[in-house]
Amino acid sequence: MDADVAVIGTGTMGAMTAWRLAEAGLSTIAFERFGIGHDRSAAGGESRIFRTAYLEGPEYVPLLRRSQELWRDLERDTGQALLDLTGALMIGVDGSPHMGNVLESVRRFDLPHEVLDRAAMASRYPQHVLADGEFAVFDPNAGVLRPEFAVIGAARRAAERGARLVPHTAVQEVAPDTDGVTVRTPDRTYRVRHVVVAAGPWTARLLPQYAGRVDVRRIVMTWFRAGDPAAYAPDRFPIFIREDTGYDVFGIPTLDGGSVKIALTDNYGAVGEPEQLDHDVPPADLETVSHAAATYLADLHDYPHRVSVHMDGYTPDRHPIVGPVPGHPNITVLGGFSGHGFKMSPAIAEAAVDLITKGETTLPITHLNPSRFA
Amino acid sequence: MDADVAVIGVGTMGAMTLWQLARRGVRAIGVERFNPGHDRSGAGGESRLFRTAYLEGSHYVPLLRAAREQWRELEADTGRDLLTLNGGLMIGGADTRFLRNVRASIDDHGIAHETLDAADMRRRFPQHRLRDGEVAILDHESGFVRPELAVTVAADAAERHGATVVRHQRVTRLDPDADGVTVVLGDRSLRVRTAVVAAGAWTNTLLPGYTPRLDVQRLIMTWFPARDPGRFRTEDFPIFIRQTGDYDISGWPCLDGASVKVAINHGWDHVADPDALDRDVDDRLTAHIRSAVAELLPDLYPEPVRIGVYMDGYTADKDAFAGPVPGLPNVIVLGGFSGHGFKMSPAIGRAAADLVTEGATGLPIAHLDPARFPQTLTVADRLGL
Repeated sequence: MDADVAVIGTGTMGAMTAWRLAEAGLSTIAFERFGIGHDRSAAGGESRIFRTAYLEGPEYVPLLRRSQELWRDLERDTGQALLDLTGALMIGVDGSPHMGNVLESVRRFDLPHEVLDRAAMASRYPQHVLADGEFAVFDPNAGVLRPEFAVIGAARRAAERGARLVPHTAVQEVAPDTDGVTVRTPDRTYRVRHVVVAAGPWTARLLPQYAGRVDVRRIVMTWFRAGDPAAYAPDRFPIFIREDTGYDVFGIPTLDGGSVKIALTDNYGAVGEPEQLDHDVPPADLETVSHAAATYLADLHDYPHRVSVHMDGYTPDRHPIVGPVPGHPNITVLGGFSGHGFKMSPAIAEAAVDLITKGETTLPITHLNPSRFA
Repeated sequence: MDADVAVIGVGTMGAMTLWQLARRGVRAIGVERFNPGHDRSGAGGESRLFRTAYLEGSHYVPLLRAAREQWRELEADTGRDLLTLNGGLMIGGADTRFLRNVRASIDDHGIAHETLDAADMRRRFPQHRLRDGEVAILDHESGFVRPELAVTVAADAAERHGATVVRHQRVTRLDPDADGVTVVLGDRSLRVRTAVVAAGAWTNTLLPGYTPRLDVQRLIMTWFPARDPGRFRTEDFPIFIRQTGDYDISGWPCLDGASVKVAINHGWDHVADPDALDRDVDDRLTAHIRSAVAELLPDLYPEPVRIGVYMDGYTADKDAFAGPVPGLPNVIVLGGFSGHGFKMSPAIGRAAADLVTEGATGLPIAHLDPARFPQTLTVADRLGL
């Protein structure tokens, strides 16, 4: 055996899994087709959102709370700041499914929060231009994650704890049998007891049973210049999501002293082969987000000056796929994060390690079970 | 007449020209195929070098000092910080053409500087790992400018001073005559006295055969995460240019709290069609810059976490052409900046405004005269093929 566990893909989920595996004392080998921390797939673009009052559903809250603890552990282990709790504003209209989930998260788990009506928003957060009927929930357990540092830090920490990193190597095949799994790369084969497939958009390449279940979509991030950068600094401008009045938008305060990330959550179409991800966004495709920024926010330039293209795998129900692959107990899949996985990646990794070492986890991931697509 | 002047392209040079014209009261219209501040051509990527001790030649120094004054005027007019002079380290072999040129600039023009040997560098700038025989010159008149901010605030200020900016409009043709220029915008046209063509990679398309054929090259910027971003702050880490062995790179301080931009100083590959700039960068293409960072900047992780793709037009001698176009009345061109134009853009804009209003400029741009190129037009050039 070359290792107890091979992790395929050392991106967001893979780096976290390698870190948790190495901390648990398992011998680990982690493959990555590009360099560690690359921007060719889902992670990258300077910032990601962390939030707890969860518009995708209250069932995620325990995973998010555990993630918050693990982000602090990773900061301690790597000596780098990864999570800045700016708070979050979840903005929408009364009775919408999103705001219903946010409020149900708050109620069920007794989360600290504030409800801000349009007048309160106008006085505290005049950057946001609210329409009639819109209100906000302020979630203090939310903020900005640093994706590049998180991935690199977790991978480095894994290596310090004994994991072997194999970058610039694309795994071509994982072949399970009753005793373990054979992992094939262009150079050689490896034998391991267990494989974690954390290959993002390449998931179906290695696990063809997920072809058609995981739709790879482009994520485009856009930055706008602020007229007054101080108004959009982290201490005055929490991260936000706003979804009920025409545009599905999120925003992140300025981290470079001038640019505010305002982006659409999902509106840029399907990706064919992940190697062919188109990094170009023609100007016509930037009109929607430019209108959204101009409509929803005050004092931003009318056109993005920075654009970055990423991608993620989306499932039909927009819930990730986390757990053993049906019929192949020695393969764990972590995929289909549907554009909202980054924040929860350390808890997902912990759950995966629990499943591998103990066959079960106390973290609530039944709604992510791969067998729902079997 | 729709205006006195049309500026074709409101990017780096166009925005500065429009601002300089408008603030002296000239009626000007800028036409931009995208929107000022877009990232689809030369400008962008958070920071650009501002250097005064100029490895490209001592004769640039007066223009660069004039540019510094113009940057300060643009800052005063817009209330935004655009130019940060945090010093520039020129690092290389002690007896190389590169450092000889830098020293010539310093000697000819009295630039404040320090010469640092290997021991000085280890003590003051340990972020750089030097090879045997390398030294550095710290130019105190260098630093960096903010490209997106500069272009957008210059365009905004131009509008505030009365200029018009036509956005998302492609110029299809210029028809100059003895009395002025007709600028054709698809199905309509503008009539102006003078046209300033600041079209970057599209220059040859608008002036087929009248300006030297540009080699449009991809400029690729790469950001590397710092192991400790606190070691790369603006006040601790000057911009640098370094020529070491096969490596010819530049770097900037950490501006986003996480990563440090380190980029290769020359174009990466030819762009056949500027409308189809390839924004994808194959993993294999970054091997050279990754190995440079791994050896020379050990406090960075040698894997890029952000890649930005831009382009610029290169001339044969790497000097731009800025001035009246030979053979075309009432047309001024600002083109071919060959990857080192951004820093000087507000002075180039001022020189263009001088040429429009006075017919001459006191700014030292004689070495950029478009007439220095031999006219070697082919039929294909004239037809724009």
